[in-house]
Amino acid sequence: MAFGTSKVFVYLITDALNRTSTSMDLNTDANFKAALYDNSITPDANAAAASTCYNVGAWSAGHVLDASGWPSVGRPLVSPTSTATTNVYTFDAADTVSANDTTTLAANFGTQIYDDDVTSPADQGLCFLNWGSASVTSGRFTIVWNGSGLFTVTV
Amino acid sequence: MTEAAEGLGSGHPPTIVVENNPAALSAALEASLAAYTDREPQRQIAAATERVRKAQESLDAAQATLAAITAEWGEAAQASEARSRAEFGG
Repeated sequence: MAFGTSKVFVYLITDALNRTSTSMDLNTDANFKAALYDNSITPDANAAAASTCYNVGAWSAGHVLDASGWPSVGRPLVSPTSTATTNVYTFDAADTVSANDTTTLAANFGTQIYDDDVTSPADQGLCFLNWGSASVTSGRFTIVWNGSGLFTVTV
Repeated sequence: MTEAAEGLGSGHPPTIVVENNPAALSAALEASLAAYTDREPQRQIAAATERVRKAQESLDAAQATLAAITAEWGEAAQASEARSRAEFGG
């Protein structure tokens, strides 16, 4: 089992188009979070919506955390943007930084991005992103989001 | 007629920046700078003192050499004078 890859949950698209998810709005929701995971999990981009939620299914184990610097529930995405340019939709945000300079995180391999505003299913996932392995000892941990954004949808 | 392009949703892998122990690193740098600031004048004074000591040694050696030459010349002058007196009855 391994984190291994970076993908968009298909049910993010399905629920948005079907208006299934009760309240997910990538343009206005203000509580997207990035939770960290080790390499023991096997994310599934095709999982049902309920299984893409924070602390559910594949995401119920493998949490990597620092109680104050990067809690299990994750750090909030700052300044998220949801835009389209020509045929590419992009979800992006400012880089996400640990809450302090004394954060200690064991080896972590990726993040699950979820919407803490969504209530049904609660904390539905948007995507998961992999970076190999990283750790920090009493320091500052920053996720520098890809120049192409967290994820894109090209039509 | 061309086929419609296939839609593509892509998650993009981010990169991680880790700054281990920034406070400790800063403290270590400050301590190192403080130690350097404290030691550097002393080191320069010690180096200057050593240069002065070596210069003094060279001066002492030169003075000893000069004294030896002066004494040698004095003895030679006295011997020469003694020979002149013996030869010319001065």
